[in-house]
Amino acid sequence: MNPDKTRKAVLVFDADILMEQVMQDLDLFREVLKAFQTDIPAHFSQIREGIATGQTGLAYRAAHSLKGAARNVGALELAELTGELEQRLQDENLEADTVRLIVDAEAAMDRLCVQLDVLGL
Amino acid sequence: MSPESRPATSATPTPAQPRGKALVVDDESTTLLILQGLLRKEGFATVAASNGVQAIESFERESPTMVFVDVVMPGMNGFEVARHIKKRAGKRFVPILFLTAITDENTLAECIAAGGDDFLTKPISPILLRAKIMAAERITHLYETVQRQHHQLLFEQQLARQVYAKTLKDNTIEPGEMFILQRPASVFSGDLVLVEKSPSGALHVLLGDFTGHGLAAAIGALPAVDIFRSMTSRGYSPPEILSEINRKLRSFLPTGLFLAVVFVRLHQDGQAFSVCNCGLPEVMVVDGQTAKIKHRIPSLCLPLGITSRFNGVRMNPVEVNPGDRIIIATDGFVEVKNADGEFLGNERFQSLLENGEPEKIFERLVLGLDDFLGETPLDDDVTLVVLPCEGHKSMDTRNVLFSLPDGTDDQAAFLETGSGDWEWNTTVKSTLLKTIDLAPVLLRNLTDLLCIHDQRHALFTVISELLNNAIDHGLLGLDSRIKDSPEGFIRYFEERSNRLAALTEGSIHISFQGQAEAGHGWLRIRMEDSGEGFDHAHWQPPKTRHNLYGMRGLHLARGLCKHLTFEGRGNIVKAVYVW
Repeated sequence: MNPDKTRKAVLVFDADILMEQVMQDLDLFREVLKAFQTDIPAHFSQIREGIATGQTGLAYRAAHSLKGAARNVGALELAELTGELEQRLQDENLEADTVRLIVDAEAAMDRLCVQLDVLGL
Repeated sequence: MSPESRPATSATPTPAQPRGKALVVDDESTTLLILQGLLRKEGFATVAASNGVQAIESFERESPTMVFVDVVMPGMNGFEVARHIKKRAGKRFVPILFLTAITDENTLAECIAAGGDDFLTKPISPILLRAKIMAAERITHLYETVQRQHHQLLFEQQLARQVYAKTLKDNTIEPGEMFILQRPASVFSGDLVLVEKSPSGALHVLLGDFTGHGLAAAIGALPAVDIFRSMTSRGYSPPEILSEINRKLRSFLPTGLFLAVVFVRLHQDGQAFSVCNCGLPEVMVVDGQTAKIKHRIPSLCLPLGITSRFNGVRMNPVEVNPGDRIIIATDGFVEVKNADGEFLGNERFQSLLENGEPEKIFERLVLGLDDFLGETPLDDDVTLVVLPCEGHKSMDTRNVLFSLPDGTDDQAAFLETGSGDWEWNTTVKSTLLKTIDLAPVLLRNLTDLLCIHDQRHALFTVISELLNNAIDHGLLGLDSRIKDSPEGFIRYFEERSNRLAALTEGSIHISFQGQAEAGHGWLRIRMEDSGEGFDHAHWQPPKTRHNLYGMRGLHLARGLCKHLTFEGRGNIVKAVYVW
């Protein structure tokens, strides 16, 4: 099954979601996004490390955190991909599809960073 | 529009009132930041922790008032953190709200099972957060109120118990004169046993049983004890004391709360007593010789605190011999229930009384109760009093200091001429004598005038005996020889109350003169009654124990006074009391 074909096109970034959560506090908005970007590489490396060493629990928790963070900041595409990843890791599904999903998620992550950069965030 | 003049938006609301400190625990920084930011806007100070160990440390260090914990975390998960925190919080209520992205019912149920008070789903909705904080604060407030009230309740119960215990422990009677068993059913007993000697040397014993236990009983006990003590020591009679306790309880106690009492007045020689039973089981008298029950005094009056007018209280005079025993018990005794639900009952109670030596009645009753009860807890207070009829020591007359003021060695001259600081004359009509007990009234005024608290008992004896003489023999014309036997003693008092009720004329003129200074002084008493008088020239002290009752009081008074003479036709008495 190719995940790409079943997935609907979603927004890379919806600023309203975080804006609403921080009650239109622009400073807090920026602060959260900054922390998000700082933490992302660590989450990804934990997912990869967990899969490589067979610690699916570690990989699952990292995916769970990443999904939560993505949902918090309104990174919709990333949230959807990592959510799917979290589910597969919880089911201890380590097939090629799962690894493919990590690559997709990293690509979504790159697209997000470009957008945030464009927005000056 | 310049940035400076931009109007304030909801992005920068004024911080709310300080409302405590929130600990936020999440391994993921965006949630930490968002939640902390929102909580600050709500007026909270915030502390963040990114794992369980840190969270527990922060909790100990910062004592937050509210905790937000993420469920899925590496290391210790949110449920474990919650359990640790709840344990460490002890009696303090700290609401814990779980943060979770997982919304299946099982997980949410697990949040509550782990000691969580509520949960918030991620991403966090500021509106929902605010609502949940308010709900948590309401619970905290409620919890604190309950805690405070609980503490207050415990404190008050403790206080009531202390006051009650202290009030009742103040019995001044020497141990060995009577036997008292008190077994409370709850924290403390609703029963009370009060013992006090009247100035005339009679022993007043009051056994009371309040409906209910605990605080309600303590509230009623305080005035009852106070009235009993002060009125007994001022020489008031049992009916007057009971009537006053009734009046006080009636105004104090809520409806449905009352006091059943037995009031016993045992005369100093132990050969007669009078009793009033208001709502308690029969008072028993066991014969010291035959070991059989010789008197039963049933309840003839309502318990105290029920009717606003407490009329018709009569003390029933009962004749006893030394060695007889008076047994008073609350209904808790015969109504004791054992493990089989069986009552101890009157038959068992009576066989315990009669089967054995009268000297061992108390021991038998206590052992009998314990045997019957076994390990079963009591459901009512049990109180038992065994009062041996023996003569007991009167007030200690040895402590009365007899000495005349300087330069007054000539007694006769002093009696006739000495003038004091003050003089007090009063005439009492027979109608007043029917309604008030004069001796305590006179004594109270004299005590205040002369500052003679330590002389009160002796002086009371003098005044009440002189008054009794003036009333009984002067106004009522009673012959004290009736009192030569215990049966006559009772007849005498019946006759006395009949004649007093029928009395329509006559009066007593009383005059006091006195002086007191630095614990010493003298009091001259003159009483003149309008009666026939008697042949005082042949008045002699009683010589034998047979003449135990007749005129005994007057001789006692003479023993206490420096000087006591009769004049006129025997209707005038003059006495000088010196201390």
